[in-house]
Amino acid sequence: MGPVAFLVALVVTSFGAGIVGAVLGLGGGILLVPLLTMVFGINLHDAMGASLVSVIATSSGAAAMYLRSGLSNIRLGLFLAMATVTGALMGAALSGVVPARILELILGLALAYSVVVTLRQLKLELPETLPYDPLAMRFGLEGTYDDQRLGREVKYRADRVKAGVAVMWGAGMLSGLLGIGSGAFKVLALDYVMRLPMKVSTATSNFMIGITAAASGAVYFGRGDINPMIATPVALGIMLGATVGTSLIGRLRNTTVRALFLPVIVYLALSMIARGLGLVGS
Amino acid sequence: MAVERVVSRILWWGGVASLALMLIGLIGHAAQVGVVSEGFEIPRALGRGGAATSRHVFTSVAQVVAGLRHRPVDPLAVATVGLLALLATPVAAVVAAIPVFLSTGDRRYALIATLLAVALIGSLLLGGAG
Repeated sequence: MGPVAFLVALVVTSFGAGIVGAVLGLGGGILLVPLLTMVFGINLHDAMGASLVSVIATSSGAAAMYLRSGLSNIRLGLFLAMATVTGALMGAALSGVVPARILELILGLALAYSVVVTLRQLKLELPETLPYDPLAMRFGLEGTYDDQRLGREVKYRADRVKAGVAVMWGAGMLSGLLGIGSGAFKVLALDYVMRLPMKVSTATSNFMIGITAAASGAVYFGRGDINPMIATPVALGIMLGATVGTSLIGRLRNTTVRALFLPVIVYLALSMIARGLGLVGS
Repeated sequence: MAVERVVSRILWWGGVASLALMLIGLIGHAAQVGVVSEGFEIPRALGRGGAATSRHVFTSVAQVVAGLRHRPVDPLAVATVGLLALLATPVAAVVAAIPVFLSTGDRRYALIATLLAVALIGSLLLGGAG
């Protein structure tokens, strides 16, 4: 493949990953790394560096929108970012020494877990009562938002904050280790562990993804894992794809879209696990 | 909503400006070496070591500055400025939140944002971007 065709293919593939990631609420990074390594034969560390950059680009655009709409809770995001940033710094330091096969195996498992989270999102409801958690009260981890679909203002407050912080630390660790946004894990902490509404969880997770990725991004840069020739077309493609994907969400039925795209993610997850276990050639 | 508005603006314009610089750098590089020539190398490591071996990859701010001072300017140094600006965008947003929290009397979150900013700026400096 010639250089121009290669760059165009990178932009188009990243555009596709951006659409799928936005529609499934996962962000594009977790899809990008397997695609860049398996389809384009790009070195795993180059792929992770490009993914990390694209994750920050996508997060910046989406978080700006969600903050303006009031869906993203900035205090909650900053409070939990202390855990994700610490985890991300540790993960980024480890990613330079952990063998590529182990990284591929972890990514495959993370991808498989994302499938489970996506399936869970099909039948989600709002928490019925406001929980009482001393840390949530002390740090004001609560808020309100206008739910247009329900036609009312929804009040919420975080629950099980300590457990949420622990899961967030793990999400940050994965982000630094694999060069992904680990949005699925952040949403798990916010929605499942801390029992926050799904829309607030997704929007706040998006805000936190950029901050977490920026922490490990400097480590990737210093190691030479962020290559402008790869990161630029990937970031451009995924940001455009995420914009299109976000606008598509409103028009498509979630169940239909997820049913169409889930097999693709399952295939990528199994392929990465197989590579990690040495069942197929890297 | 004051802090949300400030942070939102920084994230949006930081992202747009960074991507624009990255794109200008990549197009400039293509124009400089010619997209069909050997010079427009797609540095795929293809499993043979890390990307640091590629001559297109900068690993410190000093190298980027040298690329910008070089005549003609190295377009990939411009693209890397965009990459660094993108890494710095969320950090700038956190830093900008500090005075806004202070002005609204929210000292607790001003402190949290300060701690985060210190960790993020520390990682930028220690990670090699400094």
